[in-house]
Amino acid sequence: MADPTRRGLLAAGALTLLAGCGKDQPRRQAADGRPHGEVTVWLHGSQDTGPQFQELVHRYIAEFKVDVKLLHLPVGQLDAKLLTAFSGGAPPDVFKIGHWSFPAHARKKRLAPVDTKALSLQNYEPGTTTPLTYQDVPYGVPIDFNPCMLYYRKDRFEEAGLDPGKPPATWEEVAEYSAKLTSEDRRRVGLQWLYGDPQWALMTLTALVRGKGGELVTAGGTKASLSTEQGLNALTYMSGIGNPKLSNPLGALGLFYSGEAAMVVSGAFLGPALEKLGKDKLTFGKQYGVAPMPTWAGGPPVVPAYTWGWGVAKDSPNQFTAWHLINYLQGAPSVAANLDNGIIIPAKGWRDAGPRGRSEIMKIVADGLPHVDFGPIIPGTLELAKAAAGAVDSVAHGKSTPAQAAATFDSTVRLVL
Amino acid sequence: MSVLGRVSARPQATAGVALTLPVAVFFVVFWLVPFLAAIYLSFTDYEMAGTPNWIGLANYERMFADPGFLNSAWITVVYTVCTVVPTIVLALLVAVPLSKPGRLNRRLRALVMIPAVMPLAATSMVWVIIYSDRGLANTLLGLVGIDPQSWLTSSGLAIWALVVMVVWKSMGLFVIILTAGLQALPGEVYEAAAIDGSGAVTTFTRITLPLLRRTLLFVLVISVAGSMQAFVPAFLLTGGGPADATQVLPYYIWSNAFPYEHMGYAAAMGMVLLVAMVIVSALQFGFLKGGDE
Repeated sequence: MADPTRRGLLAAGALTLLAGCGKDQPRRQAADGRPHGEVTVWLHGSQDTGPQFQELVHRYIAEFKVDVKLLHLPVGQLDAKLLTAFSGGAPPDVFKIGHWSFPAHARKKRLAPVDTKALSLQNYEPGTTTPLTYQDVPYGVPIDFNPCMLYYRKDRFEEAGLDPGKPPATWEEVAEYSAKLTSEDRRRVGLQWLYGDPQWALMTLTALVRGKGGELVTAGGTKASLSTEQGLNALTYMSGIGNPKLSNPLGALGLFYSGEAAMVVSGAFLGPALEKLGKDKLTFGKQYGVAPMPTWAGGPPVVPAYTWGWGVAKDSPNQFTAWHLINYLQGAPSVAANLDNGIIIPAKGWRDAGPRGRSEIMKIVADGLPHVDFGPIIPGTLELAKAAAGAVDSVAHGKSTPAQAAATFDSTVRLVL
Repeated sequence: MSVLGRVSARPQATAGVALTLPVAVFFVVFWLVPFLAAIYLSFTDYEMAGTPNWIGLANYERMFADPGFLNSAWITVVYTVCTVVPTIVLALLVAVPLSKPGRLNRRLRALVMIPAVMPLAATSMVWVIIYSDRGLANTLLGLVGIDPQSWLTSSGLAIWALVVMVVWKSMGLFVIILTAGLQALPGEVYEAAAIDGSGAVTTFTRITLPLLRRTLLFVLVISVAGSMQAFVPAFLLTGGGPADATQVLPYYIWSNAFPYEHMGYAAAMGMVLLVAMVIVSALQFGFLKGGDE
């Protein structure tokens, strides 16, 4: 064998260094039904459930000797970072994303199906994993599950001569009440929509269009149209209520807190959030109340909803452990701690996990479960939602007629289906 | 060349290649390759997964059927014209008095640079507060008896709110460039004009502006290119809203590339923007290059 030259040694050293910079060696899959190795988790989370979550993770690490690496990210940055990680071929094992992102990732084969050896979907309320299922394959489990309801200010109702014990039950009544609750200068309104927010625009349109028997997107997800009788009716209805020019750092929810908006459509999380904003100023039952999502008179109940979900990367070398960890994080202690903050993990029996489960807000959530509607579960949901917000906002701002806005929506969405 | 010269030239050439190689590699890896890749991607359906499929001109055809692209292109035109013209005019009006010598002018020149050196993220937050319901803008309007306005939530006002912030932010840099240009103008021309009885306005329009043509061209080209590429102000101040009223083309390209993952389509729109910028820059050079001598 020739003597190693200095150049040869340098080359060998450089190769070793480069090899060290590459991906880790694939970690061992659990063949024995026990979690192993290391799992990386990317998530966003509220400050309220953060400590409880950390504690749960530490318990998992201690109990199963699995190394869990957590990365908390601001909600607005998680999707972009995750996309970069997928494109670079180095995604985390576990991540928490919105239900609207699941179909696109699933279509691009980035997600691992739920491993039922590690996690049983039977533990969840029926229908709650539907938005995380694509082409009949479940890819995630729900956390922070939010069917919508109507929040209303009892004090504003009293001021306007309306019965604070009788919130509107139909969209027709919402319009009638809003007219009475809106001031001449429109600085104080009845119902305020969440303008500029794509997901909320899509949910609202879903409720209004489906409540009249229409469809935003056909069942196969191949055709979408707002230029229908139901679509035009929904846009016209929305443009007659609320004021898109009102602003608040906390958006429509801030306007509700300040009393400028007498009604908003929101999820179960809003009750505890309002309590934290100002317990003395806004008390449930006194200054504000909740009611089920309105329906069109004589129409079917449609409860628009969204959820966040846990997913696992298809390229994760440790999928069993990833699902095992998720199952642990969705367990009874987590259900109870989240419920205390108004965040719902829809595992069976969730309402019995804590005193808040028996509240009026949670009763409305439970009653609405059979009617929840997540809108179209298609890969182009993000674009669809953006187009929905464009249509709603342009009519509300007087930039377009409902027919023009619907035509623009149709042209935009046609390109992405 | 002597034998000695040829011998010494070779190591020099080697050293030259060695010294320029890192820059050349940087240029190729971080500029040329991405640029060529973007051209290629613009003819594909690449969506950040799988392999790109060649689809010819389909992305370019799609633009003309896409209301979002047409809206953004128009907003970019409005935004560019409405930020560039007032910025340069105001910068020139401020630069003329500030170009005169004096301790006070030196300090004022430093002051006008403050907005330009502040981070855009920070200034955007400041302007969000200024434009809020009870912010400075509405307080000032209230002093003259005008009702408060919804600056950032009104589709008719948001673009102008954005323009005002950008003009305020970018004017300082142009003041400094134009001041430098003005200070370099030959003093004897002004002395001759004064002897001939030329007034201030005549001197400015007949002497200062023509002599400043080269500096103005520089300012115009970089400000137009900057405005056509502007993404951050709209992203931070209005998020492209309300009702897409401030969705400039770079913002639309970004949203197609990243949230929606239509990388091929975004690359095609990027190419169209590039061609538009090249054409506009060429027109500016053609318009202002004459009369340099």
